[in-house]
Amino acid sequence: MSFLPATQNKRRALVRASMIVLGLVLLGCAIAARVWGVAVHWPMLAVLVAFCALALLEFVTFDEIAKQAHYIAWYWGSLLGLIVVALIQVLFAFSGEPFAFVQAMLMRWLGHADPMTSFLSGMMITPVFMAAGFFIVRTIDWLRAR
Amino acid sequence: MRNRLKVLRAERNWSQAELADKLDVSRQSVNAIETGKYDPSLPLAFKIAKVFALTIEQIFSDDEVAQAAE
Repeated sequence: MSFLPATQNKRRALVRASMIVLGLVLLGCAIAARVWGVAVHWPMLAVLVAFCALALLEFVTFDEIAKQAHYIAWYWGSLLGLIVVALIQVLFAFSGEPFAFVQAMLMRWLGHADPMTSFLSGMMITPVFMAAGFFIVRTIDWLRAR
Repeated sequence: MRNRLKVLRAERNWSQAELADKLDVSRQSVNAIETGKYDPSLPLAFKIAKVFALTIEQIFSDDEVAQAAE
């Protein structure tokens, strides 16, 4: 397509810049919702869908080495995140006395949540840890490759 | 796997970014191949060979074979 930059590197840079812009729009929507109470769920959903489409496009523009780096980072990083989540769950589900103080501490900080908040938090916590693991491994790999 | 990418690039006065554009890969990828951190796939090795107008064997060599030659 002629409107796209000629080289793969420039196309990748364009996609990445667009993702940063959409990320900032998402952040702006979240701030607007929090500060001014604006109902932004539909625009946010639209931006999120566009962001996901760009993420797919970004992956297509990756060369084989970048793809390999992402596979490794997702495998090891998300596995690390899953292990941390599993450890936390095991500690809380089967701890009894030894870790009761941690539970008490968290209760003091977070209080009791309603079922929907608990459900949504549960939905969020695993991908957050997996993504954190991905970014940790990707950063280490990037620093080593410099 | 050993390669002569850095030498060949220097002979042609190309920067890593210039070579990256010719190969349609990122500059970091060129660096990873040059420093031996990554062995390219066959399609990319053929592409590299084509850019330098050489054969794959003239650019890449097996570690053991290279050691034996030394």
